[in-house]
Amino acid sequence: MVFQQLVVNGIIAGSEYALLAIGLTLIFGILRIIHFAHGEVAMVGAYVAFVVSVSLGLPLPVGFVVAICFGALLGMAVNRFAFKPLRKQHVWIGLIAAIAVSILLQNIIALFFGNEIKTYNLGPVEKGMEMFGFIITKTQVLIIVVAVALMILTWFFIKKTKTGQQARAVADNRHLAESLGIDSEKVIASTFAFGSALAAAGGVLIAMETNLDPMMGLMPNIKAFAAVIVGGVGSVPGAILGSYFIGLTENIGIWYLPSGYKDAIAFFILIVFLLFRPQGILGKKKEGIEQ
Amino acid sequence: MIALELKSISKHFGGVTALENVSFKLEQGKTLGLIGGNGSGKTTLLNVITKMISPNSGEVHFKGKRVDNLPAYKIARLGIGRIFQIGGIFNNMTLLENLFVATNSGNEEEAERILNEVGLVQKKNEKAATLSGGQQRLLEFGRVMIRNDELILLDEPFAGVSEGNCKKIEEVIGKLQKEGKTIILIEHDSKRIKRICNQLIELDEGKLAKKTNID
Amino acid sequence: MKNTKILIFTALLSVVLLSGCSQIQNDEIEIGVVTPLTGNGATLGKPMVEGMELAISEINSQGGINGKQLKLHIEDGKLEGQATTNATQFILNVHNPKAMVTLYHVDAEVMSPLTKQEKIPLLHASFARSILPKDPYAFKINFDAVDGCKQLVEYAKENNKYRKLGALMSRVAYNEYCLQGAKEVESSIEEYWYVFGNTDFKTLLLKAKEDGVDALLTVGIDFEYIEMYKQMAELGYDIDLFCATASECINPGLESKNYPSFQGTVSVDFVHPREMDKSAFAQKYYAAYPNSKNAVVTYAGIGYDAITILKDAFTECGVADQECVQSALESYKNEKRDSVIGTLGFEDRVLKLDYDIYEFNENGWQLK
Repeated sequence: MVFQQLVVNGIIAGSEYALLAIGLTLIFGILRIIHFAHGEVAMVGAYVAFVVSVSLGLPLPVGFVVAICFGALLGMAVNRFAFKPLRKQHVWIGLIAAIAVSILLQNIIALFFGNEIKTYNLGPVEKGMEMFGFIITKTQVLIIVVAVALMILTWFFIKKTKTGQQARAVADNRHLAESLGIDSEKVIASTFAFGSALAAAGGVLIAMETNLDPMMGLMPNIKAFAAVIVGGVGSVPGAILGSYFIGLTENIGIWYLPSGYKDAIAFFILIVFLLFRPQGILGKKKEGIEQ
Repeated sequence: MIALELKSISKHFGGVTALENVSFKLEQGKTLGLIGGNGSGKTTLLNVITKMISPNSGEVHFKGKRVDNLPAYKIARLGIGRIFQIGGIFNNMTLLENLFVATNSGNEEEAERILNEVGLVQKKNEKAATLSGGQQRLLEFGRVMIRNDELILLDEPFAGVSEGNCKKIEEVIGKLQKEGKTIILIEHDSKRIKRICNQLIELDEGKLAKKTNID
Repeated sequence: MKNTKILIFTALLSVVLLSGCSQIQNDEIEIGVVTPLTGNGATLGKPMVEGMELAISEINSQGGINGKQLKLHIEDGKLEGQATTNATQFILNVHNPKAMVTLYHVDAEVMSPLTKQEKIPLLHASFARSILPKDPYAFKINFDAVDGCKQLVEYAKENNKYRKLGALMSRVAYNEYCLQGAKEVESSIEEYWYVFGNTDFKTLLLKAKEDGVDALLTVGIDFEYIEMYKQMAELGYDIDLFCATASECINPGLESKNYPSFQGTVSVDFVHPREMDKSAFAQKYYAAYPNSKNAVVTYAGIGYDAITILKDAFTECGVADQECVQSALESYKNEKRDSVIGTLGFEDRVLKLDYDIYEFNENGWQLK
């Protein structure tokens, strides 16, 4: 009874983190930078859907689609204007640029929308559905279903499309990919677009459950980053696995620990993996590749 | 017809001169051996041709067209292929995927045929990282073949490879030569050079020290 | 060259002296307020400031205090420590106020060391008394968590409103005081603590349900209540919320959402949460602030009364005599009975208020 509920809570959280983690791992895999602003892309996606559905009165699914498109464009813009010019610099510079973009986006949204919590119009609140010993609301089911659908879409993108294959190649060995005629900058831009679109989708789903505020992307992004490390950097299945691992551990963990430790659980797992298994569950120790 | 021409290529890294005023012409269908001591600039020369690094001065012409002002991926698309000293394969992709990503088509039949030619078809669905050094080189040759590259740059393809695979590699090079491909080969073994190459260039501390014809 | 230097020096000196002069000869009484005006907490912060402005404009239009006009300096603390500290320092340094006012306990904790240094009164609408022992110039002008929660749990126990009581609380002083008051009446209370800022109560609610708890005591801020009620409705557990104060826990904006979990809520307050909206004061307030129709009027009343209390002290003493002002405030009894929120004066710098119990049913808040 209790255990099932905690597991379901964990699956919901894991689904939300996975949508951010996939983009993070793709971008980290290709560029070796931690996209600190990825959570803010998700947050902006949530606000775009808010504008479309609450301010303009259109149905939320429309807002969802608009948010995804906007997220893709935003991601490409961030790559083009914040990361690309600094590509040749040391990787720390890229990190700082990411943090700067993160702060910028938080403040722009706060300026336009204010700091107070906003909500989508999801209809009257009703008791969730009771099944197999746990309670789950329609919104929560939707979150899981949409997340899984997007994960399948990602698998398709990575395995079956040309861009997906090229993205894997560029992530594996960028110079080699270039020497085979792959325009790595174009591939990077596409990866940012795809990953950011997923993040925006994740942002909308998170906001459906926990509402919107300018800082809403920060914690999920950190959890997603932990998931990326746990699963194995650059591995999309790893990111998904890591996300559910973190989601489940958090939600089961706080049954036994004081609730204030919830976020600490994710950090603790992150540190343990960085210390003892930095390649993650699915990663292999990689050899250096370079010219 | 001149496949490749270098005009006064110079490259320095900080205070170190890697290449100085290197010029030569390479006819289509010929195989050029590139020799010289360690640090004489051989790999740097290949890097300049493929635009992995930009020359400080000079020009590179491929089939009569200037290419040193193009980005690396565009040069590769003109039909210039390369086999690397290390790290020339995508470790986390399968052999088939390594070939697919090199071309625009996903033609599995053709990929299998080429893997068969280099003796690797039985491992087609395994990750490239599982291959031995020699097998990795052969995979790279397979990639060159599926791309039908016209100018092929080989950076010590025999180094660290078993005798059996060395023979295989020589066979593959022979086949490419028969198809009229232009090849540059960096190699240390003088007997092998005499067997494979038509011409020889020796680099000494970045300068072109000697040009020899072998045939 | 030498003449130019003398000229510049004289100019600078005059500027410095004159700016100093304008402060000494000031005909205004400065009062400062730092509270959230945007973001979380603004639901109460904004009305409080508006109530203060209303009182001040009334006083000023009648000639001010002893011929001096009151001036209010407002800063948005955003319910955030650093922002509140900066804002307080700014007001203290630039405007030299004679008193400061604030709302939330967490803000008062940050401001008290600063105002204490200046020896000026800090009127804080906190529920907890913890600042008073540390700051002799602090005055608590709101609901008292110890007294209020004790009365609430007393009522609930006597009327069999629960079988097993729990407390769902953030680790903040006002909750600890509330629990203290509650325990004077009911010694067996299951405790479920969370970190302030957390809004996911699902696991704690599950724990409460598993422990057989059917009522949870809490003191929170609007962004917490809204999530508690929503999650309780979605989980459908048979648990009622005992909360303080009634005005805040189901405020007008939240009430319109009609969550089924509102039913069975028991609360305590010193004004009727909905009657306040129809009072003469409310009419005055709405007329002055037409955009605040859904505001928690109680807090406008608190702000209004804060100014009234200060006015009486300043009128009696004259602004510059800090000792006199301090003792006037300490002995304030509201003899004129002109308070909006029904205060009975200060006792040990805690404002005495008259509490009532309210229950929420399908018709809204009912006085018990």
